[in-house]
Amino acid sequence: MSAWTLTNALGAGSAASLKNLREQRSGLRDNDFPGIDLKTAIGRVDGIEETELPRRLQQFECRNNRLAMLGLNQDDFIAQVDIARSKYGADRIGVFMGTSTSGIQEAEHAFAHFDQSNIVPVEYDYWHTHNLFSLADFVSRVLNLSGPAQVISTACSSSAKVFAAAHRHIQAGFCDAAIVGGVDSLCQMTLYGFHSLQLVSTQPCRPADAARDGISIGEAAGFALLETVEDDDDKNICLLGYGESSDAYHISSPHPEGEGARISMEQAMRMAGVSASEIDYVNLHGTATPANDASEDKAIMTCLGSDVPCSSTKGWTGHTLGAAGITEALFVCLCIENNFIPGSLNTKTIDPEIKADIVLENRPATVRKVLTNSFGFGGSNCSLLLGRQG
Amino acid sequence: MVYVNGVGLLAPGLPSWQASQTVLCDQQAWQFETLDKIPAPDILPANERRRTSAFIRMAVKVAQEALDASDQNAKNIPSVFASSCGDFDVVQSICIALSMPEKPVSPTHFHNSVHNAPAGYWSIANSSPSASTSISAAYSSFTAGLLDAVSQLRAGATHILLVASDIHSSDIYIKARAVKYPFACAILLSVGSSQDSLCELAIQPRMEKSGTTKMQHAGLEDLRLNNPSASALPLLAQISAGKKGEVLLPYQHDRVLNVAVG
Repeated sequence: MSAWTLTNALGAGSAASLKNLREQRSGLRDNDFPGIDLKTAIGRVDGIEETELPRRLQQFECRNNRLAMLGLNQDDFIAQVDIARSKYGADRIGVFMGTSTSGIQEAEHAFAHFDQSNIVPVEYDYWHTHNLFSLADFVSRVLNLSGPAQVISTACSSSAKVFAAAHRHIQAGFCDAAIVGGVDSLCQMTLYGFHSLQLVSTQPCRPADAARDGISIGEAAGFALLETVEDDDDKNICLLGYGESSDAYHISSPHPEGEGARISMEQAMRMAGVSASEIDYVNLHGTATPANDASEDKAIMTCLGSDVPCSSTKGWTGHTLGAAGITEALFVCLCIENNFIPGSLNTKTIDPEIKADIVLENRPATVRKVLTNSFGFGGSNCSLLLGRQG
Repeated sequence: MVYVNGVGLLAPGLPSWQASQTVLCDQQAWQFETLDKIPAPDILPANERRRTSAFIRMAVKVAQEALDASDQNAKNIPSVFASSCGDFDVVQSICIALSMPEKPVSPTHFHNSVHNAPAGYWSIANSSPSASTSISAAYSSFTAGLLDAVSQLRAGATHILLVASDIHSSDIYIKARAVKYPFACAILLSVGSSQDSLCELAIQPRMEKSGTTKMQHAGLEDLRLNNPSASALPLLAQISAGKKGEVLLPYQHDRVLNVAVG
């Protein structure tokens, strides 16, 4: 991962995330999102409304692509992609993006202005905003890349699975490098949708807490440039392995024993040739629903036991859904580079049923190899193993 | 080189792969016929069957047809579900609910609204823990799905199931999203050949701008152009013909994917 950037409720750019992670300051706030009348906390990103798209890409105008643009503008990311483009060629860099809802807010607006003729208004540009591929198309165009592009949309595992897809496309020779990332933005569909399933907490989410009662929803953008690693590279944080599995249990509830989660973590470790004792930290999916955290804990206990420090960082950002995989992968990069393990923010009393080692306060630590989990509706699981080589 | 071991198909005038061989070879015999209501797949448990939508039923039906043609167990086969737009009936229902003052979003609709819902139902139907991905690439979704499936075969999978489906728009949406017909197909691919193999495919992304292969029959060409997943049709016609040939599938940036069928 030779360049990366992240934007979420902690702020735009990696420095804002690092500072707030270090200071244990949450980005969650009381819901103030226009059109949503629910008592809940949200991880809203400041500055999206003011962000402008390049003039040549105005037709992509929607909240999700504005968040993508805000994210791409941070950490000199575009300049670093420019260097990679001159090295590999525009058509040899693939673009793999995760999102769950893309620019669906445009459809929400279109239906709010539904007239008597019973057709959506002509101003609504479905293909450039609401269609899932809009995100990968927009990012490709901003970065002037023309390699293979796809959007993965597997709910909350989307932007973890982009790493696996990108790696395989490079391995197959379809591209030489890849931009992986994910963007999901707040909208009525996800807030009212999760609310209809009674999965949204009225308070900031409390992962692994005995009193946890649901998720807080957030929005985020994250991007990374993946290049093939040199054998002696000890500078960059690398994708060492990944695992993907299906629960085959239920569309909107996790497998109670965490079977799919166990399989994806074990696959990632096997691919990396890393044993359980070498894992320094696990960034949990940790959504703070009663079912998710219990099921993930069983999977952790089966394949890693109770000695590996674990935490969920959703208390900082909320659950950023299709952007959760990349956001948390990049949090892991911050932890590896800055030698600390983040605590599980907002968690006060650990559920006695949860047996894994849940870290409550940030602690200094040498962090070399980390698992990060992302599990989604439809029973879609993905675990990434990130770290230094050797 | 990869091998095709089974195909599933469902579209107007193309009621299944098996029943469409004649019209795919002699396209003049094709006639438009509205799709019958698809029964809920009996491979699903009753409680899951009840929740399936037309979009999910279409995807599961073609996946099943492709698998049935081979002696493979679906449980062990990873899958790629490609769809430009996902379950648009469900998306539209949710948007209508959100336009009402009480915003009465149906929990079942929301649960089915994820792009990977067909993949989720398919994994439940087969008790399959195998990896599955669900992708979109607008009008190049089928091609991106094929490329993804081949990348997985090159990365070590022995078999992979590719499913591509898109559902047509309602009158409300037809101008904004001009998808006029439903279409679903599935292809079971493998690294090695077997007695099930229908043909082999060699794929090559082509960097120059180029036209795509068209259908000969005006009606089938209309179908191809008016459903993103139906861009698979020329490839299916070539497989059905049982002879060597090249098909150019639409890819991004006005480029094509060259598929040599042999």
